[in-house]
Amino acid sequence: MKTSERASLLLGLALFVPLAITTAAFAGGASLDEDEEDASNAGVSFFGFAKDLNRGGGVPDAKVSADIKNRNASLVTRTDDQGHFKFSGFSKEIDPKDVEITCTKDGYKLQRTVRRQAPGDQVSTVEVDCLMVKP
Amino acid sequence: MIVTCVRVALVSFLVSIAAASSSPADGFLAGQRFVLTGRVTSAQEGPMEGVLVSAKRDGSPITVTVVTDKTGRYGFPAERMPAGHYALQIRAIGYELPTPAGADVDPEQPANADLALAKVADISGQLTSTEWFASMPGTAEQKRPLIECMSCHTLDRVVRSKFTADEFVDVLKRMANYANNSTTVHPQPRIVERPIPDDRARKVAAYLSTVNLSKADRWAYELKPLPRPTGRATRVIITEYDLPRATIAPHDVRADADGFIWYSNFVEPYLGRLDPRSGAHEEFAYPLQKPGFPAGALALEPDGNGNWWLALMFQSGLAKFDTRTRTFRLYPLPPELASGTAQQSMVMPRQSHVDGKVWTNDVNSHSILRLDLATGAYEKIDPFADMPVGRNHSPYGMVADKDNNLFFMDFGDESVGRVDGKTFRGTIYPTPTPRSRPRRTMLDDKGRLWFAEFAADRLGMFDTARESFKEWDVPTPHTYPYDAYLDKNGELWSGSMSSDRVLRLDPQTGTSVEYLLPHQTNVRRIYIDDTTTPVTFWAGNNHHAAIVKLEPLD
Repeated sequence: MKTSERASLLLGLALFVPLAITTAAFAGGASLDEDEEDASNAGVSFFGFAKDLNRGGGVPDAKVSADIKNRNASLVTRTDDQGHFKFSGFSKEIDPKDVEITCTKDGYKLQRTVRRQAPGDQVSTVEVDCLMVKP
Repeated sequence: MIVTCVRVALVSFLVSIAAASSSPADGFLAGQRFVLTGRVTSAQEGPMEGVLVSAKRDGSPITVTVVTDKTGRYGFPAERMPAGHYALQIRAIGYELPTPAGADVDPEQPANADLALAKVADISGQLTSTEWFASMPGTAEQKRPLIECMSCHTLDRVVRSKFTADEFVDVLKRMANYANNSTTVHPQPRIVERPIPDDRARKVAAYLSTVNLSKADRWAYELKPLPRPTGRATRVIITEYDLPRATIAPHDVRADADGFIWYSNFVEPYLGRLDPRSGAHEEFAYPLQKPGFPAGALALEPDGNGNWWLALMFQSGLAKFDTRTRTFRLYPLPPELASGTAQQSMVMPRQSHVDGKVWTNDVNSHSILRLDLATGAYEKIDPFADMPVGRNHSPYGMVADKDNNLFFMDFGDESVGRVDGKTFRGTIYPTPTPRSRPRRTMLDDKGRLWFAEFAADRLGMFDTARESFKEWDVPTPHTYPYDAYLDKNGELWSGSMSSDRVLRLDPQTGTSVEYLLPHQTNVRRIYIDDTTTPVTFWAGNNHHAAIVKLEPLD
């Protein structure tokens, strides 16, 4: 894609996504605006564990990526001491089925991921566990 | 707080060089001769450690400050003190000079000035914003909105106000409609109204009316001053260079290879330059692009050729200052981006030689812009386009890696972000601490970002290779660090808009020292000069028209 086309696409995306806050904050941050966050706009959040299938237990300090299929954005975090992670997630326009969670850590191989979500239409959280092994 | 206009009886007498040389002498002061020494005492404490003693020669724009040691002694080195008459001031919470003090400095005849301090009846006028935050009752959530007040003024005027909750609503809405590049001596109204939700203003107003003087003549809560410096925090020399107009608001400060100090003026259309060797000052004017809109620039960054770039805030767009020709070239926004609220606070030209691109931001639309130097066109990137709406994202502090990929701080929220320079792919890394509001940053030669977590009272490190964070608490709550800078020794420095203190933290051990500054000092971007040993800290005093140099003695 040429730079100009990319810019047009991104500009279009930027204009398509409604701005929740139309007023500028101070030098770049919040303040009186800060508590105006609207949880009703939040999409599905993700949480889970990176698990060591050989030893049992969690895999601490593993990199966890959340990527949206066919989009140009990702979230990256790391597991805590217990191997736990969580993402606040993407916008509610993003179908959680299009979000792929992967885990990586030196010395480990991701065998597979297991997804669980509560039944029903109003899914707010999805649990994803990364099952990892030492090759 | 420095007492400026108090009459004083000063015992000043000449002493021998031998006596003078027994004063504190460590680090680069070791072996130096002192031309002005003395001991600071009080009836309550006897000899006083951690008292800042400042000396300003009559007619000079330069103030030199040293700190008393555990025996109460101080000493000014000869090399910093040309002959002349000096006015002396002190800073020691709870104390003042009962009458004005001064001393005649003669390089051939060292002088002594012992200072006997008196207790003040009321310490409220000496409290920093950090100390007001610590003193005020209330929850962290109640205090959180007040951290932006310090962009324009200290909390002193907030807590001394007599506004009721209802009255404060209008005050808050009025305050919100000053541009953030405002100071008390140079307020600048926003041109496009910034509406503040009434319920939000009422919530903040209700809290403020419980901590100000709307219900009584005196605060109902205990005032909690921070302790004076001790030990290592006293081993420092501080030099302040007054700028020629009170309206000058130095924001970002950087040194060039020739030892000149350059700064952005937050409220006026000038780039400033100080020669710290002589105190000489020079300004370079650039034309207003949007007359009537707030003037001034925020970020100041050099490109690979040593030319200076400015982010022009509400004037919008960028300016490049060619240091060879001493001329500006402006890069205005195109009409479709140059709305009435367009605001460029950041600029990152460091790696523009790689691909001819310069990064900047647009605060109003919470987005990133990239300038093509060849065409002057801007591309717009929204790295949060797929994130939940309703969050206060705001790309702010910026650095570029060797390939001119961008790393930025999401000052409105809690993330470090990366934008690929070739694909524009955005990657968001939430900080371990939620709602941390990371602010300014630097990239070291190991690919690590060092940054201040403004709202979390922490300093952070993001390893761009490992994609992992580390965080350190600052030692004093309510510091609200603005920036972070790693020096050549691996020590981390930071400054604050609220505490009048400079932080030096060892990330390996977590130990730290805080240097108290002589005056109320609103510190923004900091710079560490690694060419000196020990290193030298530089910053602007954004509200009081001065450049500050801090030299630790170890």
